[in-house]
Amino acid sequence: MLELKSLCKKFQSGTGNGRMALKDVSLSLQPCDFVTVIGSNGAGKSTLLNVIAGVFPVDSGQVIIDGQDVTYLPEHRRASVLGRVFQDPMQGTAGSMSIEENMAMALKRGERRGLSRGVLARDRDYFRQQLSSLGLGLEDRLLEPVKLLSGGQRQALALLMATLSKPKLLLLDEHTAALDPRTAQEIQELTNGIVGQGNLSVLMVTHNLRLALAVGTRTIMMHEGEIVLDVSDPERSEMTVSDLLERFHDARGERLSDDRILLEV
Amino acid sequence: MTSAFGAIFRVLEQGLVYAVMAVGVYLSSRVLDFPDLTVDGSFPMGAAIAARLLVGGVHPLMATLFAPVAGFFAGAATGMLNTKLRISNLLAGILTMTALYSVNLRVMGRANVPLLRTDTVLTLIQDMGMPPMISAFLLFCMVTVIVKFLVDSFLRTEFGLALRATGDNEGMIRSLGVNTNSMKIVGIGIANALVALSGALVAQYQGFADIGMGIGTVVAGLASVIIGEAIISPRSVGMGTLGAIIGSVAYRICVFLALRLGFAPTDLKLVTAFLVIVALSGKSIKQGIGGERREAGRNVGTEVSM
Repeated sequence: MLELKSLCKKFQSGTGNGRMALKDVSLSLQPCDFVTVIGSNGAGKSTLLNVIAGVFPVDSGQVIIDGQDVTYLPEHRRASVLGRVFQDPMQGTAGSMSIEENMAMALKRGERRGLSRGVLARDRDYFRQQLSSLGLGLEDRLLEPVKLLSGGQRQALALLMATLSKPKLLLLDEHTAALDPRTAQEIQELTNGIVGQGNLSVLMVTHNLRLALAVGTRTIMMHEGEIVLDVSDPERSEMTVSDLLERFHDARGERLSDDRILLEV
Repeated sequence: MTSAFGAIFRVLEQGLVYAVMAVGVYLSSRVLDFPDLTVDGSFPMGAAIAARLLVGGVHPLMATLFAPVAGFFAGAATGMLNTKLRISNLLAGILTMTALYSVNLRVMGRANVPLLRTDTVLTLIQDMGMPPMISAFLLFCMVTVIVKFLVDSFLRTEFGLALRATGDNEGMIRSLGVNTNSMKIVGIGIANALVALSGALVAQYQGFADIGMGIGTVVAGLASVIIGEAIISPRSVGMGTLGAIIGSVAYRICVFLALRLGFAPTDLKLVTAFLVIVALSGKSIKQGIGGERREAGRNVGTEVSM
Protein backbone atom coordinates (compact mmCIF):
# COMPACT_ATOMS: atom_id res chain seq x y z
CA MET A 1 0.00 0.00 0.00
CA LEU A 2 2.64 2.47 1.12
CA GLU A 3 6.31 1.80 0.56
CA LEU A 4 8.99 4.21 1.77
CA LYS A 5 12.54 3.44 0.69
CA SER A 6 15.54 5.08 2.39
CA LEU A 7 13.99 8.55 2.64
CA CYS A 8 16.36 11.35 3.53
CA LYS A 9 15.38 14.95 4.10
CA LYS A 10 17.59 17.75 5.32
CA PHE A 11 16.40 21.18 6.34
CA GLN A 12 18.80 24.08 5.93
CA SER A 13 19.34 25.97 9.13
CA GLY A 14 20.61 29.51 9.34
CA THR A 15 24.07 28.35 10.36
CA GLY A 16 24.54 26.40 7.16
CA ASN A 17 24.85 23.02 8.81
CA GLY A 18 21.31 21.93 8.25
CA ARG A 19 19.43 19.36 10.24
CA MET A 20 18.57 15.86 9.11
CA ALA A 21 14.82 15.61 9.58
CA LEU A 22 14.64 12.16 8.05
CA LYS A 23 17.60 9.76 8.09
CA ASP A 24 17.27 6.78 5.79
CA VAL A 25 13.65 6.06 6.71
CA SER A 26 12.13 2.90 5.25
CA LEU A 27 8.63 1.72 6.03
CA SER A 28 6.16 -0.63 4.44
CA LEU A 29 2.41 -0.54 5.07
CA GLN A 30 -0.01 -3.30 4.12
CA PRO A 31 -3.63 -2.55 3.23
CA CYS A 32 -5.68 -2.03 6.41
CA ASP A 33 -2.57 -1.35 8.51
CA PHE A 34 -3.36 1.26 11.16
CA VAL A 35 -0.01 2.60 12.29
CA THR A 36 0.38 5.01 15.17
CA VAL A 37 3.50 7.17 15.06
CA ILE A 38 5.05 8.48 18.26
CA GLY A 39 8.22 10.37 19.11
CA SER A 40 9.39 13.54 20.81
CA ASN A 41 9.28 17.00 19.26
CA GLY A 42 11.54 17.27 16.24
CA ALA A 43 11.69 13.50 15.81
CA GLY A 44 10.53 13.81 12.20
CA LYS A 45 6.93 12.61 12.54
CA SER A 46 5.34 15.56 10.78
CA THR A 47 8.12 15.67 8.23
CA LEU A 48 7.39 12.06 7.42
CA LEU A 49 3.72 12.82 6.80
CA ASN A 50 4.55 15.92 4.76
CA VAL A 51 6.98 13.97 2.61
CA ILE A 52 4.38 11.27 1.97
CA ALA A 53 1.79 13.91 1.07
CA GLY A 54 4.28 15.69 -1.18
CA VAL A 55 4.25 19.02 0.63
CA PHE A 56 7.98 19.18 0.08
CA PRO A 57 10.37 16.96 -1.91
CA VAL A 58 12.81 14.49 -0.41
CA ASP A 59 16.59 14.67 -0.92
CA SER A 60 16.83 10.98 -1.71
CA GLY A 61 14.75 7.84 -1.46
CA GLN A 62 11.45 6.74 -2.90
CA VAL A 63 7.76 7.12 -1.97
CA ILE A 64 5.52 4.46 -3.51
CA ILE A 65 1.77 4.62 -2.89
CA ASP A 66 -0.42 1.79 -4.13
CA GLY A 67 2.29 0.57 -6.48
CA GLN A 68 2.88 3.99 -8.04
CA ASP A 69 6.14 5.85 -7.57
CA VAL A 70 5.01 9.33 -6.49
CA THR A 71 8.40 10.61 -5.30
CA TYR A 72 8.45 13.40 -7.87
CA LEU A 73 4.73 14.13 -8.07
CA PRO A 74 3.56 17.46 -6.60
CA GLU A 75 1.13 17.44 -3.68
CA HIS A 76 -2.02 18.00 -5.73
CA ARG A 77 -1.29 15.02 -8.01
CA ARG A 78 -1.06 12.62 -5.05
CA ALA A 79 -4.34 13.74 -3.55
CA SER A 80 -6.54 11.13 -5.24
CA VAL A 81 -5.07 8.32 -3.14
CA LEU A 82 -4.50 10.02 0.18
CA GLY A 83 -6.65 11.88 2.65
CA ARG A 84 -5.27 14.08 5.35
CA VAL A 85 -6.40 15.67 8.61
CA PHE A 86 -4.27 18.36 10.22
CA GLN A 87 -3.79 19.32 13.85
CA ASP A 88 -5.48 22.69 13.42
CA PRO A 89 -9.23 22.26 12.73
CA MET A 90 -9.10 25.46 10.65
CA GLN A 91 -6.67 23.85 8.23
CA GLY A 92 -8.93 21.08 6.95
CA THR A 93 -11.96 23.11 5.89
CA ALA A 94 -12.72 26.35 4.05
CA GLY A 95 -14.40 28.56 6.65
CA SER A 96 -16.18 31.00 4.36
CA MET A 97 -17.81 28.19 2.39
CA SER A 98 -20.84 26.15 3.41
CA ILE A 99 -20.76 22.62 4.81
CA GLU A 100 -22.18 21.18 1.59
CA GLU A 101 -19.70 23.11 -0.55
CA ASN A 102 -16.82 21.81 1.54
CA MET A 103 -18.09 18.26 1.18
CA ALA A 104 -18.67 18.65 -2.55
CA MET A 105 -15.04 19.69 -2.94
CA ALA A 106 -13.91 16.69 -0.91
CA LEU A 107 -16.07 14.36 -3.01
CA LYS A 108 -14.15 15.48 -6.10
CA ARG A 109 -10.79 14.70 -4.51
CA GLY A 110 -8.14 14.29 -7.18
CA GLU A 111 -10.63 14.62 -10.04
CA ARG A 112 -10.83 17.27 -12.74
CA ARG A 113 -13.09 20.11 -11.77
CA GLY A 114 -15.24 21.35 -14.62
CA LEU A 115 -18.06 23.79 -15.10
CA SER A 116 -20.89 21.59 -13.95
CA ARG A 117 -22.73 22.53 -10.77
CA GLY A 118 -20.55 22.25 -7.69
CA VAL A 119 -23.18 20.84 -5.34
CA LEU A 120 -25.62 18.40 -6.94
CA ALA A 121 -29.03 17.59 -5.46
CA ARG A 122 -28.27 13.87 -5.44
CA ASP A 123 -25.03 14.50 -3.51
CA ARG A 124 -26.94 16.34 -0.80
CA ASP A 125 -28.67 13.16 0.37
CA TYR A 126 -25.33 11.41 0.56
CA PHE A 127 -23.83 14.34 2.50
CA ARG A 128 -26.74 14.32 4.94
CA GLN A 129 -26.41 10.61 5.49
CA GLN A 130 -22.65 10.89 6.04
CA LEU A 131 -23.02 13.88 8.37
CA SER A 132 -25.68 12.16 10.45
CA SER A 133 -23.17 9.37 11.13
CA LEU A 134 -21.13 11.96 13.05
CA GLY A 135 -24.05 12.44 15.43
CA LEU A 136 -23.45 16.18 15.70
CA GLY A 137 -26.59 17.42 14.02
CA LEU A 138 -24.60 18.87 11.12
CA GLU A 139 -26.92 17.18 8.60
CA ASP A 140 -29.47 19.96 9.19
CA ARG A 141 -26.92 22.73 8.66
CA LEU A 142 -25.73 22.01 5.11
CA LEU A 143 -25.94 25.64 3.99
CA GLU A 144 -24.16 27.18 6.98
CA PRO A 145 -20.64 28.49 6.52
CA VAL A 146 -18.12 26.21 8.22
CA LYS A 147 -16.62 29.08 10.23
CA LEU A 148 -19.74 29.02 12.43
CA LEU A 149 -18.90 25.50 13.66
CA SER A 150 -16.94 24.75 16.83
CA GLY A 151 -13.38 23.39 16.62
CA GLY A 152 -14.53 19.85 17.32
CA GLN A 153 -17.31 20.03 14.75
CA ARG A 154 -14.89 21.41 12.18
CA GLN A 155 -12.43 18.64 12.89
CA ALA A 156 -15.16 16.00 12.60
CA LEU A 157 -16.12 17.49 9.25
CA ALA A 158 -12.48 17.56 8.16
CA LEU A 159 -12.16 13.89 9.09
CA LEU A 160 -15.28 13.04 7.12
CA MET A 161 -14.01 15.04 4.15
CA ALA A 162 -10.65 13.30 4.24
CA THR A 163 -12.31 9.91 3.86
CA LEU A 164 -15.39 10.84 1.78
CA SER A 165 -13.94 9.77 -1.55
CA LYS A 166 -12.41 6.54 -0.19
CA PRO A 167 -8.69 7.26 -0.32
CA LYS A 168 -6.18 4.41 -0.03
CA LEU A 169 -4.15 6.09 2.68
CA LEU A 170 -5.20 8.36 5.54
CA LEU A 171 -2.67 10.67 7.20
CA LEU A 172 -3.62 12.00 10.63
CA ASP A 173 -1.22 14.60 12.00
CA GLU A 174 -2.05 14.89 15.72
CA HIS A 175 -5.59 15.57 14.64
CA THR A 176 -6.98 15.57 18.19
CA ALA A 177 -4.17 17.51 19.88
CA ALA A 178 -5.77 20.95 19.55
CA LEU A 179 -9.10 19.84 21.02
CA ASP A 180 -10.28 19.64 24.61
CA PRO A 181 -9.95 16.11 26.10
CA ARG A 182 -13.62 15.22 25.76
CA THR A 183 -13.86 16.39 22.12
CA ALA A 184 -10.52 14.76 21.39
CA GLN A 185 -11.90 11.46 22.59
CA GLU A 186 -15.03 11.86 20.49
CA ILE A 187 -13.00 12.63 17.38
CA GLN A 188 -10.78 9.64 18.11
CA GLU A 189 -13.83 7.38 18.39
CA LEU A 190 -15.14 8.76 15.10
CA THR A 191 -11.75 8.09 13.57
CA ASN A 192 -11.76 4.49 14.74
CA GLY A 193 -15.27 4.06 13.36
CA ILE A 194 -14.46 5.54 9.95
CA VAL A 195 -11.23 3.57 9.66
CA GLY A 196 -13.07 0.40 10.65
CA GLN A 197 -15.54 0.71 7.76
CA GLY A 198 -13.16 1.52 4.96
CA ASN A 199 -10.47 -0.53 3.38
CA LEU A 200 -7.68 1.95 3.98
CA SER A 201 -4.27 2.23 5.60
CA VAL A 202 -3.69 4.84 8.27
CA LEU A 203 -0.68 6.70 9.62
CA MET A 204 -1.61 8.53 12.80
CA VAL A 205 0.83 10.79 14.57
CA THR A 206 0.14 11.27 18.27
CA HIS A 207 1.86 12.51 21.38
CA ASN A 208 -0.25 10.31 23.57
CA LEU A 209 1.62 7.02 24.19
CA ARG A 210 -1.34 5.32 25.83
CA LEU A 211 -3.51 6.17 22.82
CA ALA A 212 -0.78 5.03 20.45
CA LEU A 213 -0.95 1.56 21.97
CA ALA A 214 -4.71 1.52 22.41
CA VAL A 215 -5.69 2.14 18.78
CA GLY A 216 -4.42 0.72 15.54
CA THR A 217 -2.54 -2.42 14.70
CA ARG A 218 1.06 -1.26 14.77
CA THR A 219 3.17 1.42 16.45
CA ILE A 220 6.39 3.03 15.29
CA MET A 221 8.53 5.39 17.32
CA MET A 222 10.69 8.01 15.68
CA HIS A 223 13.73 9.69 17.16
CA GLU A 224 16.03 12.22 15.52
CA GLY A 225 14.79 11.40 12.05
CA GLU A 226 14.92 7.63 12.36
CA ILE A 227 12.43 4.89 13.08
CA VAL A 228 13.83 3.39 16.28
CA LEU A 229 10.99 1.08 17.19
CA ASP A 230 8.41 -0.83 15.16
CA VAL A 231 6.02 -3.20 16.93
CA SER A 232 2.91 -4.86 15.57
CA ASP A 233 0.09 -6.86 17.06
CA PRO A 234 -0.08 -9.36 18.65
CA GLU A 235 3.18 -8.39 20.41
CA ARG A 236 2.04 -4.80 20.64
CA SER A 237 -1.30 -5.58 22.27
CA GLU A 238 0.53 -6.94 25.31
CA MET A 239 2.67 -3.83 25.72
CA THR A 240 2.28 -1.08 28.28
CA VAL A 241 3.58 2.45 28.04
CA SER A 242 6.53 1.62 30.30
CA ASP A 243 7.36 -1.36 28.08
CA LEU A 244 7.40 1.07 25.17
CA LEU A 245 9.84 3.40 26.95
CA GLU A 246 11.96 0.44 28.01
CA ARG A 247 12.16 -0.76 24.42
CA PHE A 248 13.19 2.72 23.36
CA HIS A 249 15.91 2.67 25.98
CA ASP A 250 17.18 -0.68 24.75
CA ALA A 251 17.15 0.48 21.16
CA ARG A 252 18.93 3.77 21.72
CA GLY A 253 20.92 3.25 24.85
CA GLU A 254 19.56 6.49 26.23
CA ARG A 255 16.60 7.60 28.30
CA LEU A 256 13.77 9.52 26.72
CA SER A 257 14.03 12.85 28.37
CA ASP A 258 11.43 14.82 26.49
CA ASP A 259 9.01 16.26 29.01
CA ARG A 260 6.13 16.34 26.67
CA ILE A 261 6.22 12.71 25.70
CA LEU A 262 6.46 11.62 29.35
CA LEU A 263 3.93 14.13 30.55
CA GLU A 264 1.10 12.58 28.60
CA VAL A 265 1.93 9.00 29.60
CA MET B 1 -35.86 69.27 -12.63
CA THR B 2 -34.89 67.55 -15.85
CA SER B 3 -31.26 68.47 -15.30
CA ALA B 4 -31.31 66.98 -11.83
CA PHE B 5 -32.99 63.88 -13.24
CA GLY B 6 -30.37 63.75 -15.99
CA ALA B 7 -27.57 64.09 -13.45
CA ILE B 8 -28.91 61.18 -11.42
CA PHE B 9 -29.08 59.13 -14.58
CA ARG B 10 -25.49 59.95 -15.46
CA VAL B 11 -24.36 58.92 -11.97
CA LEU B 12 -26.27 55.63 -12.21
CA GLU B 13 -24.78 54.95 -15.65
CA GLN B 14 -21.29 55.50 -14.32
CA GLY B 15 -21.99 53.34 -11.30
CA LEU B 16 -23.16 50.49 -13.48
CA VAL B 17 -20.44 50.69 -16.12
CA TYR B 18 -17.76 50.71 -13.44
CA ALA B 19 -19.62 47.98 -11.53
CA VAL B 20 -18.29 45.43 -14.02
CA MET B 21 -14.78 46.50 -12.98
CA ALA B 22 -15.79 46.38 -9.30
CA VAL B 23 -16.99 42.79 -9.69
CA GLY B 24 -13.56 42.00 -11.17
CA VAL B 25 -11.84 43.59 -8.17
CA TYR B 26 -14.20 41.66 -5.88
CA LEU B 27 -13.07 38.44 -7.56
CA SER B 28 -9.37 39.10 -7.05
CA SER B 29 -9.42 40.90 -3.70
CA ARG B 30 -12.17 39.01 -1.90
CA VAL B 31 -12.64 35.62 -3.55
CA LEU B 32 -8.97 34.96 -4.29
CA ASP B 33 -7.55 37.18 -1.52
CA PHE B 34 -5.08 38.54 -4.06
CA PRO B 35 -4.37 42.30 -4.03
CA ASP B 36 -4.18 42.74 -7.79
CA LEU B 37 -2.74 46.00 -9.13
CA THR B 38 -2.86 44.78 -12.75
CA VAL B 39 -6.26 46.48 -12.80
CA ASP B 40 -4.73 49.94 -13.29
CA GLY B 41 -3.24 48.63 -16.54
CA SER B 42 -5.91 46.25 -17.76
CA PHE B 43 -8.68 48.83 -17.48
CA PRO B 44 -7.08 51.27 -19.96
CA MET B 45 -5.97 48.26 -22.02
CA GLY B 46 -9.60 47.29 -22.53
CA ALA B 47 -10.30 50.88 -23.53
CA ALA B 48 -7.28 51.06 -25.83
CA ILE B 49 -8.08 47.82 -27.63
CA ALA B 50 -11.73 48.67 -28.11
CA ALA B 51 -10.87 52.19 -29.31
CA ARG B 52 -8.25 51.00 -31.73
CA LEU B 53 -10.55 48.34 -33.19
CA LEU B 54 -13.50 50.75 -33.42
CA VAL B 55 -11.40 53.35 -35.24
CA GLY B 56 -10.25 50.55 -37.53
CA GLY B 57 -13.88 49.88 -38.46
CA VAL B 58 -14.43 46.68 -36.49
CA HIS B 59 -18.01 45.98 -35.41
CA PRO B 60 -18.60 47.56 -31.96
CA LEU B 61 -19.72 44.29 -30.44
CA MET B 62 -16.58 42.50 -31.64
CA ALA B 63 -14.38 45.39 -30.52
CA THR B 64 -15.96 45.35 -27.06
CA LEU B 65 -15.74 41.60 -26.64
CA PHE B 66 -12.11 41.47 -27.70
CA ALA B 67 -11.12 43.63 -24.72
CA PRO B 68 -11.89 41.00 -22.03
CA VAL B 69 -9.93 38.39 -23.97
CA ALA B 70 -6.85 40.59 -23.81
CA GLY B 71 -7.65 41.45 -20.19
CA PHE B 72 -7.67 37.76 -19.32
CA PHE B 73 -4.13 37.34 -20.64
CA ALA B 74 -2.94 40.43 -18.75
CA GLY B 75 -4.33 38.99 -15.51
CA ALA B 76 -2.97 35.54 -16.28
CA ALA B 77 0.46 37.13 -16.79
CA THR B 78 0.31 38.57 -13.28
CA GLY B 79 -0.82 35.21 -11.96
CA MET B 80 2.11 33.48 -13.63
CA LEU B 81 4.63 36.03 -12.34
CA ASN B 82 3.31 35.33 -8.86
CA THR B 83 2.94 31.55 -8.97
CA LYS B 84 5.59 30.37 -11.43
CA LEU B 85 8.32 32.95 -10.80
CA ARG B 86 7.35 33.48 -7.16
CA ILE B 87 7.24 37.26 -7.36
CA SER B 88 5.10 38.73 -4.58
CA ASN B 89 1.49 39.37 -5.59
CA LEU B 90 1.72 43.14 -5.23
CA LEU B 91 4.93 43.41 -7.24
CA ALA B 92 3.65 41.02 -9.91
CA GLY B 93 0.66 43.30 -10.44
CA ILE B 94 2.83 46.41 -10.53
CA LEU B 95 5.13 44.82 -13.13
CA THR B 96 2.26 43.87 -15.42
CA MET B 97 0.65 47.26 -14.93
CA THR B 98 3.88 49.04 -15.84
CA ALA B 99 4.44 46.86 -18.90
CA LEU B 100 0.85 47.44 -19.99
CA TYR B 101 1.42 51.20 -20.07
CA SER B 102 3.77 50.72 -23.03
CA VAL B 103 1.52 48.08 -24.55
CA ASN B 104 -1.45 50.41 -24.35
CA LEU B 105 0.48 53.24 -26.02
CA ARG B 106 1.47 50.84 -28.80
CA VAL B 107 -2.12 49.71 -29.22
CA MET B 108 -3.47 53.24 -29.40
CA GLY B 109 -0.53 54.69 -31.31
CA ARG B 110 -0.86 57.88 -29.28
CA ALA B 111 -1.96 58.96 -25.82
CA ASN B 112 -5.60 59.67 -26.68
CA VAL B 113 -8.00 58.17 -29.22
CA PRO B 114 -11.29 60.03 -29.68
CA LEU B 115 -14.34 57.93 -30.54
CA LEU B 116 -16.80 60.69 -31.29
CA ARG B 117 -17.23 59.93 -34.97
CA THR B 118 -17.07 56.14 -34.82
CA ASP B 119 -19.82 53.66 -34.18
CA THR B 120 -19.89 52.34 -30.62
CA VAL B 121 -22.09 49.88 -28.75
CA LEU B 122 -24.07 52.90 -27.63
CA THR B 123 -24.77 54.21 -31.14
CA LEU B 124 -25.50 50.60 -32.06
CA ILE B 125 -28.41 50.27 -29.67
CA GLN B 126 -29.56 53.82 -30.42
CA ASP B 127 -29.77 52.79 -34.08
CA MET B 128 -31.97 49.95 -32.93
CA GLY B 129 -34.45 52.55 -31.74
CA MET B 130 -33.48 53.02 -28.11
CA PRO B 131 -33.97 56.63 -26.93
CA PRO B 132 -30.52 58.21 -26.43
CA MET B 133 -31.51 59.45 -22.98
CA ILE B 134 -31.77 55.97 -21.45
CA SER B 135 -29.75 53.87 -23.89
CA ALA B 136 -26.52 53.93 -21.87
CA PHE B 137 -28.38 53.21 -18.65
CA LEU B 138 -30.23 50.24 -20.10
CA LEU B 139 -27.17 48.85 -21.83
CA PHE B 140 -25.02 49.04 -18.71
CA CYS B 141 -27.82 47.62 -16.61
CA MET B 142 -28.07 44.67 -18.95
CA VAL B 143 -24.32 44.10 -19.09
CA THR B 144 -24.00 44.30 -15.30
CA VAL B 145 -26.86 41.86 -14.74
CA ILE B 146 -25.41 39.41 -17.26
CA VAL B 147 -21.94 39.70 -15.73
CA LYS B 148 -23.31 39.18 -12.22
CA PHE B 149 -25.31 36.15 -13.32
CA LEU B 150 -22.34 34.60 -15.12
CA VAL B 151 -19.89 35.25 -12.27
CA ASP B 152 -22.33 33.92 -9.64
CA SER B 153 -23.00 30.77 -11.66
CA PHE B 154 -19.30 30.29 -12.31
CA LEU B 155 -18.45 30.54 -8.62
CA ARG B 156 -20.95 27.75 -7.89
CA THR B 157 -19.43 25.31 -10.37
CA GLU B 158 -16.92 22.64 -9.33
CA PHE B 159 -14.19 24.87 -10.72
CA GLY B 160 -15.65 27.91 -8.97
CA LEU B 161 -15.73 26.13 -5.61
CA ALA B 162 -12.05 25.22 -6.00
CA LEU B 163 -11.28 28.83 -6.93
CA ARG B 164 -13.01 30.13 -3.80
CA ALA B 165 -11.28 27.55 -1.64
CA THR B 166 -7.94 28.67 -3.09
CA GLY B 167 -8.60 32.12 -1.66
CA ASP B 168 -9.97 30.75 1.60
CA ASN B 169 -7.67 27.85 2.49
CA GLU B 170 -5.02 27.10 -0.08
CA GLY B 171 -3.40 24.19 1.75
CA MET B 172 -6.72 22.41 2.19
CA ILE B 173 -7.81 22.56 -1.42
CA ARG B 174 -4.33 21.54 -2.59
CA SER B 175 -4.60 18.48 -0.37
CA LEU B 176 -7.83 17.72 -2.25
CA GLY B 177 -5.92 17.60 -5.51
CA VAL B 178 -6.33 21.11 -6.90
CA ASN B 179 -3.44 22.88 -8.57
CA THR B 180 -3.83 26.19 -6.77
CA ASN B 181 -1.33 27.92 -9.06
CA SER B 182 -3.60 27.30 -12.05
CA MET B 183 -6.55 28.49 -10.01
CA LYS B 184 -4.83 31.79 -9.26
CA ILE B 185 -3.75 32.29 -12.88
CA VAL B 186 -7.25 31.64 -14.22
CA GLY B 187 -8.94 33.58 -11.41
CA ILE B 188 -6.82 36.72 -11.82
CA GLY B 189 -7.30 36.32 -15.58
CA ILE B 190 -11.09 36.33 -15.25
CA ALA B 191 -10.97 39.28 -12.86
CA ASN B 192 -8.99 41.33 -15.36
CA ALA B 193 -11.19 40.23 -18.24
CA LEU B 194 -14.07 41.93 -16.42
CA VAL B 195 -11.93 44.99 -15.73
CA ALA B 196 -10.94 45.27 -19.40
CA LEU B 197 -14.58 44.86 -20.48
CA SER B 198 -15.47 47.71 -18.16
CA GLY B 199 -12.64 49.78 -19.66
CA ALA B 200 -13.90 49.12 -23.19
CA LEU B 201 -17.41 50.24 -22.23
CA VAL B 202 -16.18 53.33 -20.38
CA ALA B 203 -14.15 54.45 -23.41
CA GLN B 204 -17.22 54.21 -25.64
CA TYR B 205 -19.35 55.90 -23.00
CA GLN B 206 -17.05 58.89 -22.49
CA GLY B 207 -16.14 59.07 -26.18
CA PHE B 208 -12.38 58.48 -25.96
CA ALA B 209 -9.66 56.19 -24.71
CA ASP B 210 -6.83 57.81 -22.82
CA ILE B 211 -3.52 56.41 -21.62
CA GLY B 212 -4.06 57.93 -18.17
CA MET B 213 -7.61 56.69 -17.60
CA GLY B 214 -6.48 53.66 -15.56
CA ILE B 215 -4.85 55.58 -12.75
CA GLY B 216 -6.67 54.89 -9.51
CA THR B 217 -8.91 52.18 -10.96
CA VAL B 218 -7.93 49.59 -8.37
CA VAL B 219 -8.56 52.02 -5.52
CA ALA B 220 -11.95 52.95 -6.97
CA GLY B 221 -12.73 49.24 -7.34
CA LEU B 222 -11.69 48.52 -3.77
CA ALA B 223 -13.71 51.51 -2.57
CA SER B 224 -16.75 50.06 -4.32
CA VAL B 225 -16.23 46.62 -2.83
CA ILE B 226 -15.72 48.00 0.68
CA ILE B 227 -18.67 50.39 0.49
CA GLY B 228 -20.82 47.55 -0.83
CA GLU B 229 -19.76 45.34 2.08
CA ALA B 230 -20.60 48.13 4.52
CA ILE B 231 -24.06 48.50 2.97
CA ILE B 232 -25.19 44.86 2.68
CA SER B 233 -22.61 42.84 4.68
CA PRO B 234 -22.68 39.92 2.21
CA ARG B 235 -22.74 36.31 3.41
CA SER B 236 -22.95 34.52 0.08
CA VAL B 237 -21.29 34.75 -3.30
CA GLY B 238 -24.39 36.27 -4.89
CA MET B 239 -24.53 38.91 -2.18
CA GLY B 240 -20.82 39.58 -2.67
CA THR B 241 -21.15 40.48 -6.34
CA LEU B 242 -24.33 42.42 -5.60
CA GLY B 243 -22.39 44.31 -2.93
CA ALA B 244 -19.71 45.25 -5.46
CA ILE B 245 -22.37 46.56 -7.86
CA ILE B 246 -24.25 48.51 -5.18
CA GLY B 247 -20.92 49.76 -3.87
CA SER B 248 -19.92 50.96 -7.30
CA VAL B 249 -23.11 53.00 -7.66
CA ALA B 250 -22.73 54.33 -4.11
CA TYR B 251 -19.13 55.26 -4.83
CA ARG B 252 -20.13 57.24 -7.94
CA ILE B 253 -22.76 59.01 -5.87
CA CYS B 254 -20.04 59.94 -3.36
CA VAL B 255 -17.88 61.25 -6.20
CA PHE B 256 -20.83 63.21 -7.57
CA LEU B 257 -21.48 64.74 -4.15
CA ALA B 258 -17.80 65.57 -3.74
CA LEU B 259 -17.90 67.47 -7.01
CA ARG B 260 -21.07 69.26 -5.90
CA LEU B 261 -19.33 70.21 -2.65
CA GLY B 262 -16.83 72.11 -4.77
CA PHE B 263 -13.93 69.69 -5.14
CA ALA B 264 -12.18 69.99 -8.49
CA PRO B 265 -12.16 66.88 -10.70
CA THR B 266 -8.41 66.74 -10.14
CA ASP B 267 -9.02 66.33 -6.40
CA LEU B 268 -11.05 63.17 -6.91
CA LYS B 269 -8.17 60.71 -6.43
CA LEU B 270 -7.47 62.32 -3.08
CA VAL B 271 -11.14 62.11 -2.17
CA THR B 272 -11.24 58.45 -3.23
CA ALA B 273 -8.14 57.53 -1.26
CA PHE B 274 -9.61 59.30 1.76
CA LEU B 275 -12.90 57.45 1.30
CA VAL B 276 -11.14 54.09 1.25
CA ILE B 277 -9.12 54.99 4.35
CA VAL B 278 -12.28 55.98 6.19
CA ALA B 279 -14.10 52.83 5.08
CA LEU B 280 -11.16 50.60 6.08
CA SER B 281 -10.46 52.28 9.39
CA GLY B 282 -14.15 52.41 10.29
CA LYS B 283 -14.08 48.75 11.19
CA SER B 284 -10.99 48.94 13.38
CA ILE B 285 -12.16 52.12 15.07
CA LYS B 286 -15.48 50.45 15.82
CA GLN B 287 -13.71 47.37 17.17
CA GLY B 288 -11.40 49.57 19.24
CA ILE B 289 -14.27 51.43 20.82
CA GLY B 290 -16.24 48.23 21.30
CA GLY B 291 -13.25 46.61 23.02
CA GLU B 292 -12.88 49.51 25.41
CA ARG B 293 -16.56 49.45 26.15
CA ARG B 294 -16.45 45.71 26.84
CA GLU B 295 -13.54 46.23 29.17
CA ALA B 296 -15.33 49.04 30.95
CA GLY B 297 -18.38 46.82 31.31
CA ARG B 298 -16.27 44.09 32.87
CA ASN B 299 -14.84 46.56 35.37
CA VAL B 300 -18.32 47.64 36.31
CA GLY B 301 -19.30 44.03 36.69
CA THR B 302 -16.48 43.23 39.10
CA GLU B 303 -17.28 46.29 41.18
CA VAL B 304 -20.87 45.19 41.47
CA SER B 305 -19.97 41.67 42.48
CA MET B 306 -17.67 43.03 45.17
